[in-house]
Amino acid sequence: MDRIVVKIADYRIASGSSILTTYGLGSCLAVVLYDPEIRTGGMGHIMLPNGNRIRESGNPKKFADLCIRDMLRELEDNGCKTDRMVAKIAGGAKMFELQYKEKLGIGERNRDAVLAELAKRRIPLMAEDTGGNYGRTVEFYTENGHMLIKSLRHATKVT
Amino acid sequence: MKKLSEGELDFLRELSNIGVGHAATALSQLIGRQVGMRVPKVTIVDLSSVPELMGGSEKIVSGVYLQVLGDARGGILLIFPDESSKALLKLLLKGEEDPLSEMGMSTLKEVGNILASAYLSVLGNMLDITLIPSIPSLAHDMVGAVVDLVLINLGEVGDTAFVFETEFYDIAEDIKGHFFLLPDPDSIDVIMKAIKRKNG
Repeated sequence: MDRIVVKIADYRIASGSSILTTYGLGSCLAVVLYDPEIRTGGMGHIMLPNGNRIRESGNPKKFADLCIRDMLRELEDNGCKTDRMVAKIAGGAKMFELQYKEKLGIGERNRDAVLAELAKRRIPLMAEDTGGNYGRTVEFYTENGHMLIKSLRHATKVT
Repeated sequence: MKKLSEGELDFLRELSNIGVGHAATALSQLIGRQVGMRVPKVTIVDLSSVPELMGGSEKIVSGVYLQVLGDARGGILLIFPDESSKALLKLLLKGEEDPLSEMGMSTLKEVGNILASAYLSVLGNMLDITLIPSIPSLAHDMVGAVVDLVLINLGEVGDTAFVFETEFYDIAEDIKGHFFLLPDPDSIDVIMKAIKRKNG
């Protein structure tokens, strides 16, 4: 099987018997978009909620909305249909307990931004493993649409 | 935020160098060994490779995070690879080296507190501003998960953000650590104004 590593602030798409993998997510979030009909999907590793405030400064793939937009476009170019697409997400943890609280942790803001973007595009969320105070490594199998979530102190989850 | 000149960056780098120097001295006194450090970095590209530098994103580390409060705000993050936190605990606590035990966790937090306080008090004194560390918080996890906070901090303000990063190590190289100072974007101005005031 082909293992494809998704780096921070990037996305990759794959099909067939591939494993999309991203390592050591903290507050960052992994977003998987998948078309089960043609077994093709993409995984993004996003860092920040919304890119619309910052005008294309640097890499758009670090933002939830722009990463989903670009990934979706590339998936469609590869034969996927948005109305068949499903989504799975993982990550968005709060690694440190802060003494003086911010409004909302960045992990939670990332999650909210992704959910809003998916709702806007009418892509149903099939699975979610977010929050907590621990890091995650995520694997997505394009062959069957399964997502594996590995962490240091918790049993591996399959969704 | 306006872009900093090369001269201003040099000045900040030097300032941070002195701060980390004092933190290294504090650590050296704590463990009774000489502690060295590498030249501080302020670049962004180097930071995204920190997980690789420390053996890959899934490598286990202990991270201590403190918020910086007072006239300027931000955060301080200290990262110890797992073997280093064990070696550190072995030196500090006789016969106890589990970074996840109650004693291990509070010792690592206290080390973070001592280093951050040494750093901030030097910086505050030199600039005549008040900088106070918050209570430390600890995470024992994959390095990617512990440092993504730093990368997020950088990413949020685009290309003008910067972070001070220094690697320190004891002479036997049993203990290695990474020290990050993450100033809030607004606080850079506070620091630059303080520098101008001091230099008349």
